[in-house]
Amino acid sequence: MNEPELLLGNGAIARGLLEAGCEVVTSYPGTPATEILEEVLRQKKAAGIDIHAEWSVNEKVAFDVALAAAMCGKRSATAMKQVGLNVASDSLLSAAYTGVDGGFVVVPCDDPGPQSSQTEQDSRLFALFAKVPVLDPSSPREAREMVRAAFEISERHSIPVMVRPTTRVCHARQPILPHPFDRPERRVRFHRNPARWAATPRHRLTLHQELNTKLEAIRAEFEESTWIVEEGPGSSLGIIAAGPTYGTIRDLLREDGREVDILKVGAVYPLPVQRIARFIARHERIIVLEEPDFAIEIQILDRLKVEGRLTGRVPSHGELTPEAVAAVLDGIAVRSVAPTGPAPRLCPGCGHRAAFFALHTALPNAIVAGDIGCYTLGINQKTLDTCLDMGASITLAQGFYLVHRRDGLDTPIVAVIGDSTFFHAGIPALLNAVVTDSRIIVVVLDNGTVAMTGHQPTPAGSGASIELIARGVGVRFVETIDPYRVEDLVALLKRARAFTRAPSPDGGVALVVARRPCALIEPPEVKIPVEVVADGCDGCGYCLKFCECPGLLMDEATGKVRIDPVRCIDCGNCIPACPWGAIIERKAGVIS
Amino acid sequence: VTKDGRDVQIVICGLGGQGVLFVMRVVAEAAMIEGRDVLASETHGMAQRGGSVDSHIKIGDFAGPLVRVGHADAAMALDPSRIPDAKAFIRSGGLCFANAPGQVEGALACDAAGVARSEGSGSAANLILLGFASKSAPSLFPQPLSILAALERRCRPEALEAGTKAFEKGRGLA
Repeated sequence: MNEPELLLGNGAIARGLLEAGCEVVTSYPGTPATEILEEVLRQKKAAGIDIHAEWSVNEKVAFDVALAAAMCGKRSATAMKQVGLNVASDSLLSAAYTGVDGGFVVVPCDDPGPQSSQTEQDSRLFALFAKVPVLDPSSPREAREMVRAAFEISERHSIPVMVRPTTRVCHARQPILPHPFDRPERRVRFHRNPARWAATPRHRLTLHQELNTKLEAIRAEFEESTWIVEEGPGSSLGIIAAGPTYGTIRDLLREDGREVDILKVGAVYPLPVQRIARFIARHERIIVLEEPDFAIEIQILDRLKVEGRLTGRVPSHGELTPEAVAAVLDGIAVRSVAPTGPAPRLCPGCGHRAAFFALHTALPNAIVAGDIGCYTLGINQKTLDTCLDMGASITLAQGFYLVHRRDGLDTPIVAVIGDSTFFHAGIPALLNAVVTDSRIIVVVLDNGTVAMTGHQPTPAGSGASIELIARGVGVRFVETIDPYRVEDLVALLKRARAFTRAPSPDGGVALVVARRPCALIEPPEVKIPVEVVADGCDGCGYCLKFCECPGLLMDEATGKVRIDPVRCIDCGNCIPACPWGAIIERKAGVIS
Repeated sequence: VTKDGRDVQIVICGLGGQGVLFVMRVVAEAAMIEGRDVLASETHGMAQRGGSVDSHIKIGDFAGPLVRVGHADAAMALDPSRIPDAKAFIRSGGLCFANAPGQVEGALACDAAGVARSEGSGSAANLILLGFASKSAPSLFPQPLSILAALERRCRPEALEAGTKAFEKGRGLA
């Protein structure tokens, strides 16, 4: 039965990997890349295919594991969000030199907007920097086909190849007609060759030269590539478009009944410059539409007629939505159309919320360095001061502590990090804090899962222990608590603070594990329904500000807080959040 | 119109947790069942924690994933707070369907949340509104039988009966 399946772009990429006989796929969860490995796991199970797919502990680990498979002649791939490639970049740049024996495809997913990321960085520029070829799909269907093409290029030239989708490809859905799966038949064969795999600087020079030769050969192939497509009636304006901006401009021209030539560029680096130059020569003016930055535009040799992000014609930040592209086409300023709805919030019953409330209560003047995950939303509770990148809570806290101590200040410094982020990038950071005797309080919010991206597993499922890791790197204050015990957590944080202030050798780094399963997976087993005592609430808004649960509403008519029975899940964590004691447990059958 | 093969663009606006992606999936799958080409887009990530979630569905010959503001044939606001956004998406002559208890200027309102609550299934408001919209504008949505077939594919077995009931309930309100 060969019926189309309505696949997510990430599902189409997964399909492409399986169809191409890819035998090892690794990833670390992160929007918009997460569903690539999820779909590999789902589809391989559905099809009964035996390939290795793993959630690695971080993107560098993921990259190296998959790379090694390709060093042994297998087809392998690694997928990650764009900032994950920063973590893996040390390996990427070196692997470009050594090359691979089997096909190796790297799929970093960019996030123009950004919708769910800390930067709008362009992974295609990373491809230029690392000197690896990059393909830029415009749709889920094209992404699936490009994965196979990328394996072929990779094997033909012994080089890692990048397929770079953006959010609008990853999270688009399209009917995908399945092709048969290639059987992974490449037997493992590791050719010992230290001059290549363990190259010293002298050999590295040779490898660099070889890499440049490969890139020129690939550029020549791309000059003839079917990933470069020209369409249009022969207009004076020509548009060079890549990624989903191709579809956006094509639909927009049709809607408006305009006829303009488009050159769709799917092979972005090494850019087929002759082919591009011929298109430019036939037009009076050229506009380049690409995301998120200017990987194509910057490679065009003669940019006299070319307008794009570098010339200011195209905005230098933000997503190229249909509205933005329309404005670019008409040469007018882009009008922003941000949605008007509410901002994201932690879920009702989330243990993180209780922990943040306790943290604010125990150490209201602390500088709190946050991290990447659901708990970044602790910012809503006025409790977080920073969010830089994976693991930076513990490292920034050390820097904050260092400079405050230098200036004789005793400000409490706290790092808040999730369990998966702790395993990903927190361990060397914690080790450094111990080595430098940085008197910080590390709070690990452990919900047992990677919740933000849809509940992927963490190493704890395989027996990894945050407490033992902390003790192993030399932390002597390690305590674990259920954050629902808000008052006990307040007391524990005060004890942790005292420990960080004790003179050496008694004091040191303090680590508190606030452990409570994600409320979406395990809602609270003990139900504590609450009510607001009408004459007790003076409408001060303290609970709305610092507990900040979606289940608490300000009743505009009465000026008092009330409970939203639809959203409230009876965790009872708002009871301590009323300074007047007006939020109380509702006893069965009693109406106050 | 889907029946005679004209292209259709639909936008669904809501909040994380309201089932925006589910409704999108059902409509897109129903269009696919009718043999149409579909290009749809979803919102994932941070926004799913109660923030704004939009989904765009383009049925027919399209290449771009997003619907342009002012160009949707139909829009659905699953939450009253998203009605202004949904209205902004529709073209002149397009239809906006809103989950709201009272009258809404420039939109066809249906108290999907209220009905869902009284039926004891608060999470089914999305399918009630889909039923209401698809009955009110049969030329813009896939046929009810295709939508029911898509529901059968997408619903967990234990939720299928409630889902089908909610969809039919919504059609009855139109």
